[in-house]
Amino acid sequence: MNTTTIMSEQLTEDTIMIDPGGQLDNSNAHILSEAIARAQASGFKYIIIDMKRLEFISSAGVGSILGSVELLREVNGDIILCNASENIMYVLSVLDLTEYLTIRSSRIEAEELCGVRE
Amino acid sequence: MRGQGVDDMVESTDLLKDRDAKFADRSAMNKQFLALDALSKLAKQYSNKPDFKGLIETLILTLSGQFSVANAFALLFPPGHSFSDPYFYATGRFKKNHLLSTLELSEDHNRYFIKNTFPQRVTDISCTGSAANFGFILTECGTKLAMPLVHDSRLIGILGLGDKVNRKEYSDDEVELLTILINTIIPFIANSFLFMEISNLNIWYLDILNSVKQGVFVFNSHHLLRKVNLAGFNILRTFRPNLQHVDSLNKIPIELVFPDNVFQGWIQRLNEVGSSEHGRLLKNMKVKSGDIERIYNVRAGTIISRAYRDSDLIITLDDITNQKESEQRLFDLEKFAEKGVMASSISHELNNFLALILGGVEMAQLALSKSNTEKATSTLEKLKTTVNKMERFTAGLMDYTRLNTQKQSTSLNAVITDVLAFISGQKKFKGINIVTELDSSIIDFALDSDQLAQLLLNFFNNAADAIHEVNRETGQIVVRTAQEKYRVVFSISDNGVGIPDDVKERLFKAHLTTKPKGHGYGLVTCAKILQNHQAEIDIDSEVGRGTTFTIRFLIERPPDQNSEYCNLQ
Repeated sequence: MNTTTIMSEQLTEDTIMIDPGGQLDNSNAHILSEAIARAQASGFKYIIIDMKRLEFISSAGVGSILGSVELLREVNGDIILCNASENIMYVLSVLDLTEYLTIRSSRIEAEELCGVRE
Repeated sequence: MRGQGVDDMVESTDLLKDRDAKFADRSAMNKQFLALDALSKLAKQYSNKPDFKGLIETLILTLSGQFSVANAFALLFPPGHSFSDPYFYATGRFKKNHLLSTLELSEDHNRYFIKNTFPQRVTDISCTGSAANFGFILTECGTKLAMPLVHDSRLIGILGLGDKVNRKEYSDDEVELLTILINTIIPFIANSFLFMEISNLNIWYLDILNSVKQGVFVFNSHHLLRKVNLAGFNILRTFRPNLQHVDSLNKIPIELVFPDNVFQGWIQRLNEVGSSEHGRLLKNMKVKSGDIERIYNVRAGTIISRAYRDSDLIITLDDITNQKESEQRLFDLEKFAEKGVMASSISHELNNFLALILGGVEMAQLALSKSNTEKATSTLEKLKTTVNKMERFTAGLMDYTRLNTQKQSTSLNAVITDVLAFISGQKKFKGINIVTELDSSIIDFALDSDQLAQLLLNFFNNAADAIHEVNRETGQIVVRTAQEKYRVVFSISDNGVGIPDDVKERLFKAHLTTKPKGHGYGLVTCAKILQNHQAEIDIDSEVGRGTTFTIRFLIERPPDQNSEYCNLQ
């Protein structure tokens, strides 16, 4: 079983940053799924997933993100991915999700999108 | 993954947009590889776990990611869930879809899907009967693809996928890939159901074990603790209150479970239990630690565990401390009650003596009124003898062992004759024909003549009472003696009311009486006297016809050295 540590940080009233590390696969995808669901239930509209510590993401890991994107967009919110490695970008491209998902190359860009930074 | 085309990886979404058609083809291949890789890892992860929920949740997340789906659901029928009560798991907007979460399936769904086992677009579903609206409901909920999970000709679940996030339709290639994925994963789902059932069985067995009041300890062949029930854990905690959780004892050696400073000498005795023995009862074992002292009834034995190809040592401890304390209390009470019975018996015997004295006085008065001084003198002499006997009896009142007899070789016939002489003039025996058939050949044997007289008086009085109770015109009491090898036999028969079976069983117990003025101690004394003389008694009685008591006295010495009795001895 792989291990992942998920840290989170509230950035503004509407925005929270979730920072998963290690390898996100079948054995722990539900942890990210639950973290996103908790943030959503707490009323955050924007969830930034900073992937700088994430080495690998499986399709289950991707699935754990997808379930909440649509629901957040309905309330004018979103999930923003940033700092994705080449590996992760490759997986997202294979799954044909690079257009659907909001992806930014850095955390600064992601925060700007959410209005955390001017 | 890295070897599958890391060189082709693009660095940003802008670059991805410009990929050529060739790269797209390779991407499709990689997508299939990604799916199969994810699935094989999933199967491996859950191949030996009873966690079907974890398996289903991860499968749904995998399919969601793999086919770019935000909304997906699973309806499953694991052990404990029927078609009308499925287990439901969903992602995205399906999570809170009331129609899906309350969906009830039926045999009609089962019949349809075991014939249509492949993933299908919901618009193509054509169930019948109570399942006819199934396709319509799924469409209304936003489901695009339905995937039946059929195992062993039985529908075990249905998975549903909503729209793809890129709004594209599911291609035939994707449906084909889904078919491969689902067919691969179904045995693992069925397996997880099986594990779940076994796990439930284990819990059930443990519940049964925990409901037993005895402490049950199971050790493996290396004498490491394999299982202990709740009662067993509580027994250990009696002496070691710092034990926190039953799991902390897992695989602990037997020497630590029953440490010698508390369970002294146990280990040696438990180790002596043979391999073929089952439930061997060891003696009660005392455990003392500080102020706490308990007594346990211990059983130990071995059974062969097929699952572990091993033999288990099973030890059961039954806390019998309270039982032992109750027994002691009962014993004390019995001793107390025995004293009460003894006092009552003595009182009863005194009444017998008084009855004899009163009868004697009446006879003396009668004789004097007829100026028969000879008869009066004789009667008074007998009265004197009775008073002497009473004196001897009362002298021993304070000593219960008085009833333990002072035997000397005496003729039973002589004692009978003596007693008959006493009762012959009494009113109670008026109108009763007393027949005596005494065998003159019976030998003298060691007996306490006073006790025997009491015994016979009791039997004569009871026989007379039984005859009066039935109002028989011609009452009859027959007394017989006989020699029977090494026994002297005495019997007394009456044609009185008889004794019912239920009374017969309790006849020699205290407080049993069938007489309006009786107190039920007469026969208790008889029983004690019989016991003192090692005599056996048989009762033959028929209600309405009468009763015969037969008493056999074991004689302690043979009639002569050459007799058969001597040889028997």
